[in-house]
Amino acid sequence: MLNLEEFEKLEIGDQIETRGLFPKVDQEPVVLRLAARDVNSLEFVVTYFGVTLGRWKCSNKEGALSWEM
Amino acid sequence: MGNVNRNLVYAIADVLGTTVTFAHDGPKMKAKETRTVNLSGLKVKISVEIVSSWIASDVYMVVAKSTGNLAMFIVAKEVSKTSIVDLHFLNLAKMDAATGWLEKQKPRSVNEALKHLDRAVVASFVKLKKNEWSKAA
Repeated sequence: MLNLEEFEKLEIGDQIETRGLFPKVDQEPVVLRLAARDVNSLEFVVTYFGVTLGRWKCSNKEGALSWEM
Repeated sequence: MGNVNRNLVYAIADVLGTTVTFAHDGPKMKAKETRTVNLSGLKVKISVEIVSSWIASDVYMVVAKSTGNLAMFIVAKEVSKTSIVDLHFLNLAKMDAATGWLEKQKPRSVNEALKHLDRAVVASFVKLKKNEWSKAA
């Protein structure tokens, strides 16, 4: 869903859209908006229908991306 | 489950993707599960829990909390022996505490419940047939 190249390029405010939580009901995507970043991690505010699901963190650990939710 | 309308309980369970149990001594539906959802390759654990339930004039209603501020108000009723389900996505940040909300409000109708939910409703859908949903006006 996110590769290393995208990880490096994303800027604050950029958004990623994924498959929705209830795809049988509607095509509304889950939206991850980049809220903060440093060299090795990105922090996203995650929403669905504009409702906040939480803040998810993606870290680059020696070339492998891992997620904390 | 006595006089419980199983079709409507199953209809609610189908929307939530969980098993719903029904207390024998009152209009209390329960469900609590965590399932893994694949979001374009990212596997995320999403919780679903019924935190409030109510029956008014043979219309079954539940409020279910999900992840973060996301909740759902689900309404199931039978029209001409067909189960009709309404699904309203809610923003918990814009409503009173979801736990026990219906029991506290004691709505006499779905419209009355929706009137109280007001700004908390972010999107509404109706299920008319199996796997066929349409956006409500």
